[in-house]
Amino acid sequence: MSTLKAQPRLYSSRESILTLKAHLSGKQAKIPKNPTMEDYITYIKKLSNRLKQGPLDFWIPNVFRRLIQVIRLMSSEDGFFPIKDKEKNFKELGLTILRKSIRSKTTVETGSETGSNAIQQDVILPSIEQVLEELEAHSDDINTFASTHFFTNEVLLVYEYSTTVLNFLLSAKKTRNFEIIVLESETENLGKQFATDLGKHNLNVTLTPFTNAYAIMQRVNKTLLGVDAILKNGGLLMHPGTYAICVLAKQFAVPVIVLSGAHKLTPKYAFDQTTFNQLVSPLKINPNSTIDHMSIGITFDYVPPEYISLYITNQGQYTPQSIYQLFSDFYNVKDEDI
Amino acid sequence: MSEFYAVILADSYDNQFNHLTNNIPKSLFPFVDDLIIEHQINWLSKNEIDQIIVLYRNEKIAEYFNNRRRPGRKTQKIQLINILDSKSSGDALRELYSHGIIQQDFLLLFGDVITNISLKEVINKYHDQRKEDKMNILLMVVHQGIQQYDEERYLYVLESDDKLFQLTDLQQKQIIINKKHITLTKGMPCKYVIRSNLIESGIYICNRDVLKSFQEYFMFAEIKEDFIKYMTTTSDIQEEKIHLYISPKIQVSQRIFHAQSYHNACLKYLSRFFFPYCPQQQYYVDFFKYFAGRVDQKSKISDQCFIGQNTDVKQKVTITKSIIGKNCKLGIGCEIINSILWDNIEVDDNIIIKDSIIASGCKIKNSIQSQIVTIENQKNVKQLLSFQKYDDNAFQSENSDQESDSHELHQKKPKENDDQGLKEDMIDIVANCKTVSQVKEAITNVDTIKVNSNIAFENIVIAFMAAFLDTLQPDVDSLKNAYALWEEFIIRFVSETEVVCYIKSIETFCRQNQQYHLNQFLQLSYKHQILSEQVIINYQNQMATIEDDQFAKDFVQSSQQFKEYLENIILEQEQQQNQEGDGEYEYEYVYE
Repeated sequence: MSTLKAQPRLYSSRESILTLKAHLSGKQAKIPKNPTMEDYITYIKKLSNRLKQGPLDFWIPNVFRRLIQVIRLMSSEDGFFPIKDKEKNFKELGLTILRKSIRSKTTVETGSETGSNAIQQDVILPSIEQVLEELEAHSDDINTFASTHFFTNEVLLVYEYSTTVLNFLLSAKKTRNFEIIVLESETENLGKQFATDLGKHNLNVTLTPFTNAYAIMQRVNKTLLGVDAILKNGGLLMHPGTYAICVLAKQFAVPVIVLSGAHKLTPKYAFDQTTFNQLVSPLKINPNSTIDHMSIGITFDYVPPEYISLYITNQGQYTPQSIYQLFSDFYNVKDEDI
Repeated sequence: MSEFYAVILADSYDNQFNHLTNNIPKSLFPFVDDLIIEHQINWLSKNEIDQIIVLYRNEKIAEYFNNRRRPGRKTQKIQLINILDSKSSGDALRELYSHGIIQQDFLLLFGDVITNISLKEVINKYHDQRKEDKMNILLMVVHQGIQQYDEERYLYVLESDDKLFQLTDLQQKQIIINKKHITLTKGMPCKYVIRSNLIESGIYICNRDVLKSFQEYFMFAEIKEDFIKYMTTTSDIQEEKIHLYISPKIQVSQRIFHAQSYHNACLKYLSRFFFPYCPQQQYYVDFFKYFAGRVDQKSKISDQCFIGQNTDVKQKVTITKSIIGKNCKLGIGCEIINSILWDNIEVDDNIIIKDSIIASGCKIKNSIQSQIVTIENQKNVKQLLSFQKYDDNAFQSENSDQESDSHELHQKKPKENDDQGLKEDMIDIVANCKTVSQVKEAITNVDTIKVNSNIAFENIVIAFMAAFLDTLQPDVDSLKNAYALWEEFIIRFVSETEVVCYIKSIETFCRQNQQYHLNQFLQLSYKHQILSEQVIINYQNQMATIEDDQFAKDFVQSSQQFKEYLENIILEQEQQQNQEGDGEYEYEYVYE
């Protein structure tokens, strides 16, 4: 089992953007002679369809949606888009300045159908760069936001391996003391790896099996979770077992805080555990399964929004009831069918 | 990997599926939703191996590939090589060598393997080992699990780095481990590991040297028994080495040796053990049930079943752990338990099919070799003979292209000359039997005659009675002896529907020969439990109503006492039942 589990999501998103860049620069893309913005957008949509690794792959379409939104923003006629609240960082401001400078270089109107190839590349390539930057720098922003929520000498509960949570804990350790309890999942063996990684940096770590969750939850102050996908209704998709933890946390009034990069926002709705799910081999859960005594393996657990207290993303902090606002900024409604 | 060939040995050289493999080779067996060989080609193309060589022995494979049209993104290049006059897999490999297509490495696959092992790591390990030592010629892929079948029971003795030191069959009485090179010193880690939780998967990655050595040693017939054994036992002379690749626990494979492993593999495929090679998601209903056809609301389908496309399942059908192919029609009230039905099968109402494999094109109607069985809740069920799981007789292979489109198995009325032959046979049999054990042989003889010539019970009873009554003498003792001798035979063949002709034949005999008394026959029949009380009383009442018959009147008079005796018995039985209270509680078996 590979040790870096959360990494592949980011990895696949970044790889797909890089392939798009390679296609455009290597002129492999099948784009008509005088391409307009719409042609580029349809090409990107087709590419995301082709690179997608199955119906449960959310991360590649997410990043392409973000790219299309950035392209639209960059080439819109009025280059001004309002900065919503103070917490949005100055990056957005930097973007407007960048765009204005680009526009001042060119002489022909942008965003119209008669733009030449080079100009389109001037819009698209910078937007690709911006998206890549967002992907790589997401954990810094999360760390700054999240550090305001934790106090000294708190007991935090973590579940299985998550790179985002790991980065946050390592950066928060510099300023305050706390104790971490790592809960191991029944199906994967990454809890131990997580505990050793944290222990290398002299953190106070305890590793417990999953069956201990009920006993431990009474003594925990906060729960920190990584995530696989954030849905538009505020729900979560995560490693199997998360739902049980969230239900327990609500029972004991422990707040559940979710850390993630914004590339995990997926504009879809789920209703129950089976909407975005797939049955895998029983041998993954229990290697001694036979036909008569079988385990059932699933890919995701869906957690409804009632069980979550706060989402911390690199674009800001939101409650599950209000995270839809972020979707409308981050993506465009027209692109939700990728 | 443009030079990497996959070689499929598309036929088996054993007799396990003997009746079926006379017509269709094992690779063309349907496996849940597709043929076995299609599953293998799909697996190979997902692992990026596009050049396939199929070694075949049966012409049907060539026909199949000539007519094969599969739309898809990748097209595989498939070559067919004929190995018609080969008697073992060794011969097949020699034939392959003589064609000279294979230059370097190739993958050898048996034709009955279903698997989800990912070949990327396997091939990498093979190439690494080739770089280390040119003498590593064979990489055998095994997976971890519990050894279930006799063909899988082997003991693997491994050295460091998974090199195979010895492979022994666990079915022998003694297991000898080549101890020459094993030295144990205290405190040192032991160099050899003995494992019995490995199962070979039928996938081998070989070098061209393997083919060469098959060519050199002409007596090699099998890969495992001969070649690998030879290489491992003579490892001090030879330098060739064989290694194992042990796959992670998620990746399994299953070989289809015989009927039980066939059924097991189908159920594993349905339960998603070979993820990501599973039946299509759009057919998934519930706990591992896949419905691609129409199923009526009132029928009960258990877990782990598959209903093929265009199949019509009528009401009140119970299906348990079975696989039904395409275009089948199941009538009302059928029960199908632990069976595999192929395509285009029509099953009539109220038939039980249990532990069987039924090949394409059958029509199963109500009168195949059936016995009429009545159960307490008054349901007449015609039961197909249920077979043991490993029995050779468990296969009914009626291929539709042999007979003219549909082969209906009805009972035929025997013709006149058949009747005559039966009577002669019966006379022979009766005349020769003097002891009880000979009577038992006679029962089996008559059974085979009945089955072979499809004769009804009635005719047998009539013929037998004719022969039997000929041997009697007008003496009470001889009657008693004769009945005592033939009791089992008569009970076997005279059941409730044949009592009429049984009594009729005795009656006609007694009418013709006045020395015999019908009454005595009836009493003896009752004593040996051939006839029940009610039947005799009915018959006596019936005889009483016949007018103008001297014989009948005599009979009625002489049997008066017997009749009263029987009536008393019936009264006693009724009284006993009433005393027991409410009697039995009749359950109706309630399905959920």
